[in-house]
Amino acid sequence: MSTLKMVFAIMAIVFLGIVVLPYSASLFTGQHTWYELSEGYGSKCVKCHADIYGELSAGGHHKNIVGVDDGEECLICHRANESIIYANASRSRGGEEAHAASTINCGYCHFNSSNPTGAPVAGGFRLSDYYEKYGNDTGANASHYGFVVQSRETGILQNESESCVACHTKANVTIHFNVTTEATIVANNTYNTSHSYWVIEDITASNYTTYKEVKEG
Amino acid sequence: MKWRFFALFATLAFILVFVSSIDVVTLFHGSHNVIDITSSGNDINCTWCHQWVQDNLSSSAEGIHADFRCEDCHRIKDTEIVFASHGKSGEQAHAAYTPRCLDCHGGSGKQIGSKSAPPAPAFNETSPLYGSDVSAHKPFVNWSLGYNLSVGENEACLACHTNYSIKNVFKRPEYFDFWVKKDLSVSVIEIGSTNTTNISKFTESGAKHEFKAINQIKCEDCHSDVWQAANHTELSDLSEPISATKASHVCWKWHHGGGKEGNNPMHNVTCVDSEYSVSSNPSYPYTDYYDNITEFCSLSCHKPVVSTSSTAVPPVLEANVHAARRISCYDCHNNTYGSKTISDGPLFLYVKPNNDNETPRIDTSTHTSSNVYPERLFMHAETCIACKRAGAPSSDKRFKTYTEPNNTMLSDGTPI
Repeated sequence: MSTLKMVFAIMAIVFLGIVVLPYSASLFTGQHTWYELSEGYGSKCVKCHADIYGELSAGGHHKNIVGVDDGEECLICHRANESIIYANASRSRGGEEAHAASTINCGYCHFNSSNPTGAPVAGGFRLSDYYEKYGNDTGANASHYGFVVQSRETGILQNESESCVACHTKANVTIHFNVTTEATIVANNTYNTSHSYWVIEDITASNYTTYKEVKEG
Repeated sequence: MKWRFFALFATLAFILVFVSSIDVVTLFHGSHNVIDITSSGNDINCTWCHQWVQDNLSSSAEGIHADFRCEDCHRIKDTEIVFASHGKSGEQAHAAYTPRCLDCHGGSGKQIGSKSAPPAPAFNETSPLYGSDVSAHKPFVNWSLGYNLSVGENEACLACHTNYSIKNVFKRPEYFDFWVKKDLSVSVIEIGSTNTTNISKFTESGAKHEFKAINQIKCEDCHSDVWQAANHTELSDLSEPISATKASHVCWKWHHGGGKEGNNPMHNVTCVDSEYSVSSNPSYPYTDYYDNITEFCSLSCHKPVVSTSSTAVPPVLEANVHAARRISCYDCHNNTYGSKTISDGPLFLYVKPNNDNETPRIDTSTHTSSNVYPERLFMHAETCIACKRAGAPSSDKRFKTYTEPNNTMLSDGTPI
């Protein structure tokens, strides 16, 4: 077959295709089929975040939080922040500080005894409103106080959530503990004109060592 | 051509995955899988993050605390603290608190399940706080309250009862220059400037949760300077039938020759048979009386066994103490109690040698203990030992004595 005949055959096939095929193929199937937002948002979250929804469903808490296992649970947390204007079709709101969802810290609900979902208060860190209301959440003896408070300074999750997630979820955690293995104690046999007595002038931590703990969920 | 085939295949696979994938991957896998905490206790396994601590506990001698659950110490039920659990939000603490050792070992002790935490003698008392002032380590416990290395007075407990390493920095006057008069009154000429001695109680792990058995606690771990000064079995003057060792801090005087070697074995440093092989001289018959240095420190002076049936017991030996007594030579060797000898029976002191433990009195014809008692405590042993090493002179003497770890003593400028 000569080259000219080959070109002609190809052009004919292409022309035939253009004329005969009724539809063009979309790059992403379904991208022009719009959701009816008044039906709710939850199931739409699950479309992309099915792994998270799977975790919620497998966990001990936060599942079925709205009583129906349909994905609306996502909104309980991720639209909980009442100071944020989210996009809302039924109210014709386009969203301001956030559109579909915002990330949230655990304490938004769990340090607030008036939270709308009735989430239990996490006391013992002097961070809940129980301290303001009743004065009993002093956190004076909390072993993990430093962890909770200092995790607020990191930017991985919001506020203190790193510390909450570390203990209360099955997230993997690797911790590098830097601990003292020695104390330096300075004792002085001091005296005055009538007595001699020992005074501990200083006790300081020394000789730190680091070890790693791995929590696997 | 082969590489072109692979490139084409990889590109197609990437496009396929990109187009068909509907999930995004969460940043922290598992962070939305919340652990069920609906039981009445702690549902979160502490060892998920604190396995190292559990390993330390498991390495404790004699299994001390090794079979405890973390909650047994860190969520003690009858503290005032409300811990978080199902239906309780937590008040002073959430998951756990750091306990004071005396939370269990104070007062009358505590029952934890089938095990009982014994009270720490003297330090478990609250009135007066930490018990008698005779307890040698009471100042340590008391002062540790003011430091934040651990809660409460735990620093003091950890120092002796765990493998936590301790670097001790002891400060003392380097020497004392003083007169001892015939009547045992003391006139201090000069107290030397501060001398510093560093003593390290080092353990490989340095772990605060690795507990030691009681018989593993050694006085010399922290007080090796005292032992260094005491560990001198050589005699000060072999020409005299009654002589003294050149030990400082403890003594002491014994007979040599005439079949009386090693008399007064109670304070006799040559009666210690330890891993340091302090006493290996076969000519003295008391080499096995003290098994180790700690036993010598305790029974010979700082915590002797006292006869409970005796009425002639010095007050310092009646006081309830913890590890050791803060004691003066003159507490026993004085005009009142020093007259008790073996022939007076019954003896008030029973110590391990238990064969000739008379308590020599101060010679009341020329000395009186009431003259030296008011002097500062650190002068008591100095005056006592210096006089003995000088052969108990009957005239006024000027001494210069150096403090631990130095055992040097001078009498009128001459080494004794």
